[in-house]
Amino acid sequence: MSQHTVILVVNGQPASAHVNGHTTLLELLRDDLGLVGTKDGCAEGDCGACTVIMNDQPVKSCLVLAVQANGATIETVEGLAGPDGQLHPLQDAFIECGAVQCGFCTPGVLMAAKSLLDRNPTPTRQEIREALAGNLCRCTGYVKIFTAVELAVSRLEARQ
Amino acid sequence: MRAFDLAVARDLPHLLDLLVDHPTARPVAGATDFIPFVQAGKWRPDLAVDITGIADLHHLRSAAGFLEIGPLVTHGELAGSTLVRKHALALAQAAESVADLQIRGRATVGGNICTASPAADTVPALLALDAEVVLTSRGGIRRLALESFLRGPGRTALGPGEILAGVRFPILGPQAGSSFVKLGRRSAMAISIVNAAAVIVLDSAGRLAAARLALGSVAPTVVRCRAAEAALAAGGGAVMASVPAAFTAAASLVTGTIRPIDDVRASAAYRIAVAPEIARRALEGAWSAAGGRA
Repeated sequence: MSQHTVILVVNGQPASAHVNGHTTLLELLRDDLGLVGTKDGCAEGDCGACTVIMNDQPVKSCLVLAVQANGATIETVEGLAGPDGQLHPLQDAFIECGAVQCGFCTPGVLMAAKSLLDRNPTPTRQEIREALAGNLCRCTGYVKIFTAVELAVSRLEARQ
Repeated sequence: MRAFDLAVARDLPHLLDLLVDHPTARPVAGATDFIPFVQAGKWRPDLAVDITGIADLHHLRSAAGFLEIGPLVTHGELAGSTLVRKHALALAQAAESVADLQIRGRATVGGNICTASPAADTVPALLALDAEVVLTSRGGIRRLALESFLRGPGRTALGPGEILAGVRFPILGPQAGSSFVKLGRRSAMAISIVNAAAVIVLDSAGRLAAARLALGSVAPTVVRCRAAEAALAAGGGAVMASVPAAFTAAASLVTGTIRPIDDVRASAAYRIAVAPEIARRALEGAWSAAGGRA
């Protein structure tokens, strides 16, 4: 099997791993770097649980070959909270609104939402729905998730 | 996932060498079809060649009356391009209808073409726009109408050692418009049950001069519906008298062209029932984008 060295920046820290050609970015994050916050749901791009931000763009990490992430900057759910453990406003809002039930989809939903707010700090509800269209949640029915994102948006706006 | 070796192509000549040295190698870019297909055992490559770093395959420009699109252009880039929105609205609409934001950011137009799914969304738009593909190998370059390139489900005219290097189509004049319409189970992450794209060209008096119509997910490949196109062109000025009726009549002719099957998404009978309406909406959308008025 071909062996490859992948060098990347994950949550602001330099990281590297030796991977096979067929290793996915999801496997690199979970198995090589131990960042198991990113979830392995369907492994074929349907569920969105493995969503991370790669070079400022949301991606399903199960659909990215690890080698294709060589040189990339990656943000995972582990990087959302501040260095002092202070939760990101999105995380606070998800807790307050009851937007989490089993929690399996939550890391992917949070990263898709974070990526939306990076691009568009004041999204409409329709824009939130479109940005989260690729993230399946089988517990909450989505309403509380959308409300939580809106709550985080209003708090981030108030901070400005 | 089934194991395979990976090579990273540095540039186009390197890629073409790799394809000659490894005839069964499979190029991989967005990987949004590649990884699920390998997982499912549908594709069993021994060697995959990552082509995402080849800058020569990632252009989007207008040149000499054509819009030229490199295979590495993503669906997200197509949907967000002002050039594509201005000159090929149907293609932007088709790209925007694919999957979700995450996948549109990775999935490439070259992959959508070469995977040769009968349900591909950008392909009806490209067929209606009269696109041709540019194929490159160590032996040189050849051009082929996109319609001839698509041979069947998952089958194309790509020869050994050959790569899709671009797709291009003539830029429509100001009195023309295009539109894409998709029927799926939901508005995200849905593979088309039926999709359609249309181009309408008006003459200087604002009468319908030409129409092109393509339908997907209703035959082994995406198909042009020439009977409907001919009916509209023959109608000419008469179409003007009754635009909605003319489009309904022309769209009803698609049932003579399509050969749908039953699959997990819908029955053949359902597709035959809805295809004329999806075609009609595409024609009406193109008419309105062209500035046509009843």
